[in-house]
Amino acid sequence: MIKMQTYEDMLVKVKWATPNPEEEIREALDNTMVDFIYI
Amino acid sequence: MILSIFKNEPIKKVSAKLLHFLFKAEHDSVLEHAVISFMIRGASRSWLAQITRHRIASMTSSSQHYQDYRDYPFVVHKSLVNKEQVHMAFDDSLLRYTILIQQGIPREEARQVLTNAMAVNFKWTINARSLYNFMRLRMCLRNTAEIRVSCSKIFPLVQQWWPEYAEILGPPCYTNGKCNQEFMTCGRKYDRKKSISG
Repeated sequence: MIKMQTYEDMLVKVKWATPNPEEEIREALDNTMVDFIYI
Repeated sequence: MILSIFKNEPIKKVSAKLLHFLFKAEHDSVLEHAVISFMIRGASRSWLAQITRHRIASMTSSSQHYQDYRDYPFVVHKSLVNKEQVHMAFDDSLLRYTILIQQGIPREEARQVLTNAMAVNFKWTINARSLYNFMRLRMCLRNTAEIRVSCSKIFPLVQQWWPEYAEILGPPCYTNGKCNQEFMTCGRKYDRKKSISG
């Protein structure tokens, strides 16, 4: 017997994510770019 | 309060405006320092062919070499669920796969009779620069229903993770107010509130 499901039955879960992405981006910008980028 | 590593000053907020500027001005390599990892169940093998074209990501998918695929469901558009022709095709495919396995044919060879609709489980780790590109291309209304459904499931999770970043995700007609597909344009505008698969 075949099993069928639709696209809407797809399950998506986050397993892990960078805890504070803003900190990572700011750290990179702070140490590589000039101040005008602070918008 | 989070302090900047060298300046001992508070980290300033990364606004959606700044993120939009970084992508527009192509200073977006800094976004690679932010990473998100998803576990996805129940997408189809044809979806797998699409998502693996986004090569700047780490991916692990269900193996038709080491797994018995009789346990996996078929994944279709909701308009096909009750179609007799579809059931007959899937029944036939799974029956022939089963017979080949019973005849001692290895799984990695028997799988050739399976259809693109077979489900796949997928672990996907992607950085924010590459995810921006993925969502820009795959949220487009010209894309397939299945990958747009996956975008609609990914989007709220990204929103929880990083709301300012989620704000700038979308196809060009949504983020820039103008389609970039020229003669291939669908002539519509993306709307986050509307149903995805139609």
